[in-house]
Amino acid sequence: MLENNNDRIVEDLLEAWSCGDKIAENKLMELLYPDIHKIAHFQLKSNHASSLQTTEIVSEAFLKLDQQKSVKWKNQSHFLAITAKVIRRVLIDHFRSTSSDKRGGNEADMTIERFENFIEDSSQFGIDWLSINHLLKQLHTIDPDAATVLEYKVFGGLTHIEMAEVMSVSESTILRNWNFARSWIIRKLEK
Amino acid sequence: MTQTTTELTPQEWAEVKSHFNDLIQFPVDEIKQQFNIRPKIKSHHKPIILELIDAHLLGIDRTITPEQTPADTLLQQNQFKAGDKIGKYTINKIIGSGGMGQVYLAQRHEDVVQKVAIKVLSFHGFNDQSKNRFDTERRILASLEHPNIARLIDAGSVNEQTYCVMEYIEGLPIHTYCKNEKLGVVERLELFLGLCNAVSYAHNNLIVHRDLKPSNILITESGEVKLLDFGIAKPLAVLPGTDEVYKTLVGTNSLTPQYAAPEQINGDKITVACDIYQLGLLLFELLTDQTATNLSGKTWGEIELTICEELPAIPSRVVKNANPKNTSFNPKEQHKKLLGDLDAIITHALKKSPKDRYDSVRSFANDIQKHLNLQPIEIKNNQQLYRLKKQARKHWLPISALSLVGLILLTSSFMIWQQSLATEKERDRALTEKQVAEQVTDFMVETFSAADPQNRLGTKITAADILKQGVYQISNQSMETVVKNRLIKTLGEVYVNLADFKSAENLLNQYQFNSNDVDLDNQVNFQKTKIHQSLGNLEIANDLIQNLKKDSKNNELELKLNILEVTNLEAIGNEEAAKKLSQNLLNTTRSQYGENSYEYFTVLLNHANAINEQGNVNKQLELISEAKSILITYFPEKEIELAEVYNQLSKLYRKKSNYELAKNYTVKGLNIASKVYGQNHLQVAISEHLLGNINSESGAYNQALKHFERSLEIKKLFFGEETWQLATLYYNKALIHSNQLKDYSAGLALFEKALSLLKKHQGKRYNNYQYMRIEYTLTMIELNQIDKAIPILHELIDYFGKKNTIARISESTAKSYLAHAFIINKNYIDAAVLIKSSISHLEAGLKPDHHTLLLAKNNFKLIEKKGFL
Repeated sequence: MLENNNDRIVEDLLEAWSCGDKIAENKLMELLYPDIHKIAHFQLKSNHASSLQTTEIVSEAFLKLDQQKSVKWKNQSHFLAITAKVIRRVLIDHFRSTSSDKRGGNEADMTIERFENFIEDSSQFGIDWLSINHLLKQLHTIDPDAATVLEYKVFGGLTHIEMAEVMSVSESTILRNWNFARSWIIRKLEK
Repeated sequence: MTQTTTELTPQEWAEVKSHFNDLIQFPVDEIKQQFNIRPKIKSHHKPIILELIDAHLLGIDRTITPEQTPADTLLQQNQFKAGDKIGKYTINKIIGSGGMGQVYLAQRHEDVVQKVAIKVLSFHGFNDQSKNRFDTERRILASLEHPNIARLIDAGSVNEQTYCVMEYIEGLPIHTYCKNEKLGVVERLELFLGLCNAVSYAHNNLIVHRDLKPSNILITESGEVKLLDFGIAKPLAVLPGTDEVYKTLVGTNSLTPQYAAPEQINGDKITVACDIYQLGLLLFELLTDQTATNLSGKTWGEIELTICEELPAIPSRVVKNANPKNTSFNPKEQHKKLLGDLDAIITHALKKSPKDRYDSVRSFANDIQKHLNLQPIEIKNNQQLYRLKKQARKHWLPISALSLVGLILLTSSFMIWQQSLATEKERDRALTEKQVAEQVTDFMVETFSAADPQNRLGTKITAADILKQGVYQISNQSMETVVKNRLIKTLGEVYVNLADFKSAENLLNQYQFNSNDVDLDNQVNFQKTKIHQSLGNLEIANDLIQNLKKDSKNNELELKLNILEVTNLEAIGNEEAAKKLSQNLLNTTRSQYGENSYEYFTVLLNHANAINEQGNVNKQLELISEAKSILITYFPEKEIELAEVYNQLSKLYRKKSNYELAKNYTVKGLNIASKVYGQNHLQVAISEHLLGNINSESGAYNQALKHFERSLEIKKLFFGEETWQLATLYYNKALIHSNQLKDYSAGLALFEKALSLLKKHQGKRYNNYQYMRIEYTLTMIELNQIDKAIPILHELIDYFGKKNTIARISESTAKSYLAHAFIINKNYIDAAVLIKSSISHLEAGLKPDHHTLLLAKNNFKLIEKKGFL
């Protein structure tokens, strides 16, 4: 896991990120990527193929960082949020590198039903993470906030309260973004 | 997925989004109406907004998002909110969402005091797996009623929604509680025993929890343990009508590596042993304030390796090195408390292979209880040895010639500890013993790893080399006398077992006798006695036996001494005394140790050997068959002893001329010996020897010669070229050449070789020497060396005549051969006297087709014909 001296750095960077520092975000991603990669990799191995519980990854990453610290995280939500971003990158990297055999293999095309089931229970089998990523990217060009909410939810399991804290908006704004993002994707998949 | 062009600009999308969000605030059946009356919506946005609304309605119709939708969303989506009623219960608030549904805090309508937790999910939109999982959980919980398991109070369904009402537990995770309360070891163990109770109860109901981790184990305000979340519990056997449940559960796996058992990682069968392992991890954590394995900074491969291969740290060592700031105890004191029993108990529960762990939570808990009661813990001796052997194979030594000696060494040093636990009641003493045993073991392991062939490329290392290296290190390393003594005794024993008596003697002479450990002193003296006996110093051996018997206060040693005395008496030639002692020993051992004891097995075998003479075969068979059934029933792991039993059986069946059974048993014995000891062990030589004898008697002479030759090769490696131990083999080869193949000159040379090896010896060996000379003279006669043969035959008749045995076979054989010599010399008168006095004994004692009898009968007829009778 993280070196002890990195704890300090992570906390400082989170602070900076929560104040809107974009460079801090990149640094955090870099710093957290290897650890989350390991946790996610474990999940992927132990659950066979693409079934994966993103929430488990987040909470484990958090627990591990938390274990080494005596002070309580000031920025728990921010940590979860950045973790969601890292998980997304880890997963996409993973499935990109294995996509040749996933395509036409176990991975079924993303359908509304699959998406809905997936939202309900992210340990579902047969999730095409690359499709999710693709949709997220499209949504991002239209509505970055809605895309971010979806990203946090899908990859980090953040609650609306947590998202509100991270994005410095009200919970009802989060809910509006969430409803829009979900409907937008369902509409997209229907087409 | 293809890249689609964006229909609208982001700004336009923002407008769409705003309309969409406003509209979906209305009740479902008003949305369309509101849409139609909204004036501001641009016409080309309209179809998109409609589609989004449809998607939204589709979404809320299908989705309840149990895991990831936070409380406010749930409530918005017509889930339960404060004040809502489910059956007899009123919702207070949502307290979590996990596994398959949301959990609410609630209370009975009329009852403000009793709080409950309600777990709800709607099957609507769920797949079969989710449904089954939830069903199983309910069934399992319903079947469990235990004070330490969160209780299922009620279950039911309302409008497609199924719910479970459970006891609401307010409490802290067990490890946090222990830390916060700064509980001592005893209090922690008592909490843990409560948990064991709950888990054991679940096991009795065929349920494995398999996700036992601190967060699932709460301690209530009143200090009670409560086990939660059988969410991924799996029935041990398929419950009636739930085949599918079982199948779906096997594939459902969402474990956290920190608390995973090896079989959960490598996909082996999950049994109660999985919970025992997890309990072991938990106990480790409770007593050390640290997790048992450190997975931080590890890749998947390393995690896998750590969980499945790496031996866990020893708890007492972990606390010793702990930073006092991070622990709720004093590291030094805690170290002392964990050292010994608790180390052993936790390590035992954390064995990698499920079948090596405690066989039940009950026995795990029993050992902890025994520890608390200051009684010796009960990790069974045999099981331990068996496991130690396996561990040694798996983790320390490459399987090769090394492992034999390795196993002897490791097991015997472990025995020291075991014995001390069994015999010594004082716990302090036992702990010191264990430390010594550990040091001895460490030393052995170091010696062996230094001798690992992979570390010394190209040189083939024999077991003997390793022993030598061990001996060398003893004399060069500065170590405490007590450890050194143990090592000397252990290595000495190995040398005795390997029949290298000189090396054993040299080593044991370095032993420093000290009055503090009389038992060890006696054991060393016992080994020395064995050496003297084996080297033929029978009088010295006898004196030592008598002295040791006087000193001995140890039953086990006394038994060994008595057995040694029986063999010593036989060796001296005092067979009657040997038989008498052996019979006594049989009776006393049976009453002292019981009929199913290993001790009784030993004396049975010994007694069968002691009464070894003509006419006792059936009695011997009885004794050995009894010994065999004791061994197979009660001590199946004692393969070496079983091999010995097979060999004895083979000998006896051979006496009964049942050659097929005899061969079978010999081969069984041989197989065990070469498996356990390797191809060139003495035991293999003995089996080869036996096979030679059997083949010889059943007429397969060339086969017999091959087996004898193989046995000779091995024995030469052991004893050297010119040693008395080879005599019998040369003699047996000689018999085949002379008596069967009629190749007398080859036979003569072999007889002379055998006799030259025996000539110097006295006692039993002198007896053998005389015995072998009988057949030797016949070969001499056949080769016309009659004048040389006659004086020897006179000596033999004199020697065997004095023995005054009942059967008089040897004496009569010698007489009949002398008669044969006289007949060739045409001395018919003397020949007639000899024949007349011998033939009846030969007819009574030999098989009808025995060559001696046939020869005597022929000569009898010849003399009769000549008219001398």
